[in-house]
Amino acid sequence: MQKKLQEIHNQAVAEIAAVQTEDELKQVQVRFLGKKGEMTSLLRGMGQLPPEERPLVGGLANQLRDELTNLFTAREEELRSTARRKAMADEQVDVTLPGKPPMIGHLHPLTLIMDEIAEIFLGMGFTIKEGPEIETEYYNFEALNIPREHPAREMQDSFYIRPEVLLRTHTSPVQIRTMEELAPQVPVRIIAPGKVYRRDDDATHSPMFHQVEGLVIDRDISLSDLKGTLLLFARQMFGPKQQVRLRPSFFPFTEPSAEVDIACVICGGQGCRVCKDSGWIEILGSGMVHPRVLELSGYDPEEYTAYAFGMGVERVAMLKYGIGDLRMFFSNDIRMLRQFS
Amino acid sequence: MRVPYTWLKDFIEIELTAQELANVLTNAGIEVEEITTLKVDFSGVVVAEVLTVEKHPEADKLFVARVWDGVEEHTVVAGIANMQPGDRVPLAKPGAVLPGNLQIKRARLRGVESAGMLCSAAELGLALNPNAEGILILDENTPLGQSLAEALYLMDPILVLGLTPNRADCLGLLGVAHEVASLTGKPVQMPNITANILPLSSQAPRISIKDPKLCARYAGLLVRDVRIALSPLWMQVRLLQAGVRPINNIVDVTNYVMWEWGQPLHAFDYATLAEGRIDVRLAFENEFLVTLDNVERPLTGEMLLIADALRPIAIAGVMGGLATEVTAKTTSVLLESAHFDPTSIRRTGRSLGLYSEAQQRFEKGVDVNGCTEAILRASRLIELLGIGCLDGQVVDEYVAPRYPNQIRLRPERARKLIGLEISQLEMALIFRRQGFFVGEGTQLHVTVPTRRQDLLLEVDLIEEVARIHGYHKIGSTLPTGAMTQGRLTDRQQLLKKTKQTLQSCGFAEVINYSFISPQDAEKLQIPANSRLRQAIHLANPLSEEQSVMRTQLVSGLLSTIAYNKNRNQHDLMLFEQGSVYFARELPESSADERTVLGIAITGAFPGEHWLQKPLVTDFFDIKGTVETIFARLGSKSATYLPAEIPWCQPGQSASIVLAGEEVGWLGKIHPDVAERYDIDKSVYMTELDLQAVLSRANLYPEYVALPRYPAMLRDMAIVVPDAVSAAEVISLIREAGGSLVEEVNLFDLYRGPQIPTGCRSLAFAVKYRDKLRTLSDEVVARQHQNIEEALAARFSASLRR
Repeated sequence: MQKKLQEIHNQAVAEIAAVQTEDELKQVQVRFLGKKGEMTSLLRGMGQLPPEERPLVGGLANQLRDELTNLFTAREEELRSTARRKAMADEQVDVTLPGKPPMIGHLHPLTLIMDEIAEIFLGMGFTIKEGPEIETEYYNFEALNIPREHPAREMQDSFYIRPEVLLRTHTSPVQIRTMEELAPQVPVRIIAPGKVYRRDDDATHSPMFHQVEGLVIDRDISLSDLKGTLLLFARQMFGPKQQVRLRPSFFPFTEPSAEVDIACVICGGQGCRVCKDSGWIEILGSGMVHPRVLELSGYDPEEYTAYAFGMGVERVAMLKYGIGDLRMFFSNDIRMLRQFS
Repeated sequence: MRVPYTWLKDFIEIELTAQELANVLTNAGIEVEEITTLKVDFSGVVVAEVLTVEKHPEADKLFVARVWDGVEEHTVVAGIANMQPGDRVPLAKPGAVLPGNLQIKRARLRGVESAGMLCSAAELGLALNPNAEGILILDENTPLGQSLAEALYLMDPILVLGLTPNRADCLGLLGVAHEVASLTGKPVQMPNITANILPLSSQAPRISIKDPKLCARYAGLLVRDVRIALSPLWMQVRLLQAGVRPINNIVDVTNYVMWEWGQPLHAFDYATLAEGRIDVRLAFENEFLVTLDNVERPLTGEMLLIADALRPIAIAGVMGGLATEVTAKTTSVLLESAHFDPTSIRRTGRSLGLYSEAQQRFEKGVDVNGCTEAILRASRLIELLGIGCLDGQVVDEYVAPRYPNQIRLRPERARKLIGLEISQLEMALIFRRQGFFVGEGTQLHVTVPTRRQDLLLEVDLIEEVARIHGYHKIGSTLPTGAMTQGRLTDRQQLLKKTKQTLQSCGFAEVINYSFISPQDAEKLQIPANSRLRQAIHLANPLSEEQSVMRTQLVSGLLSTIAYNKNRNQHDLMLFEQGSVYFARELPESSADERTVLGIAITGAFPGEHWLQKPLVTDFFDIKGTVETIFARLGSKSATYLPAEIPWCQPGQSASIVLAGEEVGWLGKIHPDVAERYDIDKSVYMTELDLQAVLSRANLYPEYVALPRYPAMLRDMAIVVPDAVSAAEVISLIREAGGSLVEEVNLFDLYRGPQIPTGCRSLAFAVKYRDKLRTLSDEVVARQHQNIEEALAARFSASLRR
């Protein structure tokens, strides 16, 4: 019996070493150690042994079985890892092949800029107001202190629908609508982004473009508050070292009025072609809201003061992205749009 | 406004260079756009005096001149002999270069050696001495031997001002000088206006203003014994620097004075004026005037005229008449210095398409109280040049006088509005330097002369203080006061979310013009009674192609697709979010503007790739996009009803209904329509009325607790006639399955040999769940069977097993 056990053992060891797959190994394991396996069958014959031999043979059988079990486990590990290595080798890829990009779209560069402007002012406590693009002369001109005979009201400069009704030429009418809505509440802090229209179409003018208007009304609002706000804006938009410069100017709806320059974003103020060697680039018009404008829309100019500004979105986008041609924005050339994500 | 720097210095001492002055002015709001000079395209030309002029011994048409350049004598051969001994002339010495890169060399002409050449104005490329032939005769005192460019001040800088419309006062050099005075503190030296006026020789001109509203003042002055000739070169050069063409001495004087004072003057040939009369009146209908440019102009009743006793002689402030023009034969002149209404002048100028320097000034506003000074200055110059005698006093009709404004300025108010500490004394000084009278107490009382028509209110004075003091001295502060919250409204957030959703789905945003062509309605075959035809037309479009406000985004998106197709970009997923505009009946309210979303898909996606072939897009791409948007916006239960959309292909179009309201459409663009936009590929589009969609959107998702009991999935495949829609089947499954049906998912659609023609097989996965307990197989089997029976009964559906 002992001899027989030893034979089975030896045979099993040989077969374990010979198998090449996990499946074969399983079969071998069943054949030797399974319920109907050779080892089990042999041990069933234990009863026929003399009782004094039984512990000895039993001990040996257990020892051999444990040994085989360990061998099976070890071989299984070995085979599995060989198989996995092979599988992995088969799955090897050329990592330099192009990847599969998920589909991603593109917001229009003007949207990106308007969103960024909005975000900056939202952070300063401004809210966003909207207004109609088809406006009355009252909101577009009269309420902004642009009288009937003002040159800015030349029919040839604006798109008219019929007398008194036109496509707004700036976002400033939203100032008026906001004041009418809120007067005499303060503080008022709003921006108004949107489309505006002027009857002009050449390399540097588009008949439709975008502006962002700003308006702040409170007691004791000053020109230096305007400067501070715009400085903050410029630094957020164009970098922390930005400088702003106010230059006296004229708009019928502000007094004092100022044109606002930022240090040239191309040359950093050293002077280049873009800034015509001045080191400065004009980005917006602004000023203290004219007392007549405040008064017309329900704010007492003795009690409240206000500043307002209006900037061209295309201008900011051109500076920020280095786009040279205004008309690019409305061509909707997909090759241009894809550059903005 | 062009400001010749040296000319400006006649009126004020300036210690700054032209560039420094430009910076100072720009920072004060008088923007200097550029500093330029006259174009001088020659070198090596000096001033020489003619000693002798003789005929060339060997050539009939040549002359030999001896000239002296202050150092040595030169002999030159000339082709013309308009110069006299003693005249000063430009001598191009050997080595000189004339315009056209003409090199001057020593040359022997018919045996006489010529050391250079004497030049005409044309040869020097100078627009001096119009219509005069021959060698340019220089002014008597021109320094000998000096370079011509220097001697004539040709290289002097010219500051080009880009004035804001409120600063008409700077359309004259004296106005600019006042501005410089306020900035530098130097006083303005007014030009001499005293002239020797002779007693009137005959009858004084009779001036009569018929319309005082349009002409507040008209001053006239007679000049007799006029000798029309060319002006001295110094005056011509200055006019050229100003950008004004020299004509003759009298006309040049009027322009010269206009440049100094900002007051336009006009000169009439007095002998041509019937009865020596000047009437300022509106034109009669059907009147005509041949203007200086020899164009016969029909006049209308709104145009202000200057007329003599018989006929119009000038369009007031805009252009003179040809018949009364000063010519070489003129011997007496009536000078006009008047004030006309800006609006009237502007309208007249626009309707005639004219825009003269005089007109510009009248439009922007001339100082009514400067009329006589200007005319006296002209008389002074006429006397100085010796080109006429002043005949009698100025006849001054001043029918609507204007007086200086006195404006109160509260220094504290100024400090607060500017946000800058600046003393009352400094404020007063700012005004006094400009020649304003300032009364001082606790407040300032500033008397503003009428030349500064932009200063009307206290706030205008405050700007003046800030401007002259310097905006650069203003600090940066932030508004204080109550806190405000900056946040997007729900609507704004939803609009943004819609854009972001589409971006993350792979769409590119486009922005098209809001105006389209009226042809687009035809191209899209929009029916005549459609609301989309109620478009708003522009009264003055730039072109027919951009003459109508859009009522839909389809045409813009199709044009964008065509544009990109022509650039070899065929696979496009685009969207546009913007307004459409409908005409409303009521005149009071503005138009009906609605925010809409248009989406277009064409081509195949994703792009060509080595791992996978792109899939050609179809109807379900656009539908899936719409469904995704609704899902993202939390708008539930949209239904899609087959519908005839005029610009869509029949059978591939639907209207979109949300909570009972139609909110848009989707479908495949009709091939005929696509073809009209030059597109030969399938295009799928949708358009959603965002106002309607967003009103049913939920910004904040509602959380539903996760299920505690497991679901059971059962599949079901049924064969139904084609006429039965998937939506009907799904809705019946839900109805028959009751509350246990959690989800119904169509996972297969099949037509083929095993399926009768006119039918299709739909396979669904039905997910059952009971929220309160674990489902048993029996319960689910019963429900599933209920559904099958209901389908069989309603749609004659047969089950496939």
